[in-house]
Amino acid sequence: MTIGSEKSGRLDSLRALVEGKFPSRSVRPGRRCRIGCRALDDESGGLRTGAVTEVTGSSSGVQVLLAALLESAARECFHVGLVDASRSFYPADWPASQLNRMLWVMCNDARHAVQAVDFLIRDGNLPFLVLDLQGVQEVSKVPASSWHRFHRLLETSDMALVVLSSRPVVEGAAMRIVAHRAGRLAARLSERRTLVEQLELQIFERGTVEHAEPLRKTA
Amino acid sequence: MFACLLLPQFRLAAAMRWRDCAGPAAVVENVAKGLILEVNEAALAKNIHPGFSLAQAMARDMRVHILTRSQAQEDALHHMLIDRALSLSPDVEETALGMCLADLRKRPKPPSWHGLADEIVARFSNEKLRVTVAFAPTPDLAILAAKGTASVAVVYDASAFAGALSVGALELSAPAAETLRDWGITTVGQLLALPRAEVIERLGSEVAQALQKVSGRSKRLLRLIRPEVKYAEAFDFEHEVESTEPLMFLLRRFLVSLTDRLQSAHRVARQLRLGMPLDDGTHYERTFTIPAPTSDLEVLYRILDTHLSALRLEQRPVGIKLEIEAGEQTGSQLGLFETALRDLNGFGETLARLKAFLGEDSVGIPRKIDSYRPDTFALDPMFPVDGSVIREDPACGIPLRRYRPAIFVHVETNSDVPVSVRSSPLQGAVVEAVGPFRLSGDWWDDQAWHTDEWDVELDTGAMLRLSRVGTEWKVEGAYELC
Repeated sequence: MTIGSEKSGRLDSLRALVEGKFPSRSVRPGRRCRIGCRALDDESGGLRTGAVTEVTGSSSGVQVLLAALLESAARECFHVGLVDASRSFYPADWPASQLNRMLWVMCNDARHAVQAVDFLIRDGNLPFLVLDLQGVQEVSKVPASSWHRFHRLLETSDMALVVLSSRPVVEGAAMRIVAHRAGRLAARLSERRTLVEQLELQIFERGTVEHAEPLRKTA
Repeated sequence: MFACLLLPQFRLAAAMRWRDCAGPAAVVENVAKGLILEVNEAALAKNIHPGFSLAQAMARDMRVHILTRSQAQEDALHHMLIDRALSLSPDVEETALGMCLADLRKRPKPPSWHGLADEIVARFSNEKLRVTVAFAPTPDLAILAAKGTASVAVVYDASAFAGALSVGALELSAPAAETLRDWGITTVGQLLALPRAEVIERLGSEVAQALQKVSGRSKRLLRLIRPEVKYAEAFDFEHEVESTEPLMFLLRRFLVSLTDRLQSAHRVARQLRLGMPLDDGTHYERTFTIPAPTSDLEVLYRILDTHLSALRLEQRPVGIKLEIEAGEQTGSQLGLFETALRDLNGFGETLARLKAFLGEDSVGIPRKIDSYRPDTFALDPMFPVDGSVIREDPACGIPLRRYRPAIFVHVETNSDVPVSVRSSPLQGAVVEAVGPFRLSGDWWDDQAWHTDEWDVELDTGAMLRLSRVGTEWKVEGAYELC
């Protein structure tokens, strides 16, 4: 046995000891949730649970990706929380079946929004949380410690946090998605499902996940 | 058998409830011009009696607690008494304030009447209340027995019980009582031994009615009540309250009592109504709907705690009232693939925290309203429970991100069509414009509105929704920002 493997064995036994002692703190392996967006599902198997995903890029692309998530919530019968830091969500543009599945939390600034997300993660009832920080000026003032706290809280849960922002702000995001423009003005006549299917994304991942499961099983 | 539940010195008991008064205590109608209505045993020992003025009572003992009669507390206590009586039988008479009769003839005979009575007394003792319970073959004997006992009385033999009763228990008028005293009659047994017709001839119908009561043969019909059982508790403070601590302390004690009553009736709380009269004469009231109806003390307490810890009032409360709307426990069947919230009440509590933190109108489930007016919607407090499938047209286009409030901009037009937007930070030449979408409504009243909307794409790549009211242009939202 080499020194390296001996160290690794001791680490494994120490990890097992800690997990046995504090089972609630054990890190669950991340899972994949397909949301019906081909660009995302085919590329990486879906959104990661137990982790923070950040979506940036074109605002139309981000909105269409949010549409895919809400459509998936309506189809698969789970609930989503939208923490809206700029109060810009427009219910009239969304189908009632999707609104019925969504908790809308309107905040006045990024600080309040982060605090609201903290409440909802600790509550643990909603499998998906979306924090919309697009167009918020003081987003850089969100302390890095908040993101680290979210990582720690999420890694022991089945919840997923998706942060929508105009530019990268989340330190240590497990998955970063850059959404491309979803279409021109003529796209207003296209079915939203078509826009979701045509959406182009760039996906950057940190670390790996153990296995993939459909979303219904995770909720 | 008939049961009589009596709360002796009801007005004093109601006023003393939730207060830790040791020593002599008396209740008055009103401190300003008060004659003492009722006193406790400690006050009697100090020779303080009902009918005394406050000065007379204070002269006997300076430490006597003078309490003002509280209508809210009396109501709550009376409802509690009725509720307890209804737990014995559905046929209950509200005989007097603080006294109930229950007809037990239709219920199975308990193994021991004394055991049942002790159980009732123990439940009241848990609430720090003294009750007297009597079981007797007739309603009137049950009342007499309840008035004559210190705790529990069971009358098996009506004639033996009546015979031993003091004549004073019949509560006859002064002349009749005096005549009987002159005759040397001190017990009901002695009275019953006299020739009935001659006694009635000399003392009148009053004695006839009294003899009928104690005969054990008259079973008068009860004036049955079918009340909606109220689960409510209230307390009037002697002084204005400055902090939430005493409120929370009292609310917890209220809830201990109310949840016990709910559980004994196999019911659950659907709504909590919290009321507080304030020192300026106004009234604060708030209703909490329980997401998953429950009778769990801790869940209900947390809902109130969350609300009160964030509550700021300019006026000070002078009382508090908590009312529970009870309902039956119902189960609901979820759809096959429906994913329920794990802890509905925990989620409700989190929503309450968020509302306290962000404002009441900032959290909810969005719902579209049947109106053409832009940006109208409603917020529901909780996810809809019915899993019915909503049939609707598929959604189209890129969802708009709305600016609240909208941004005023300068727009140049050509033949009424926007050609450029000239306001920082949104500016550029319009390369495509779709519109106008003319919207109007409420033209039948003074709330009439009218607006023209345009969807435009600028040469910068930005896609905006513009609106025009008169000559004013605003950017209502954006589909794309570049």
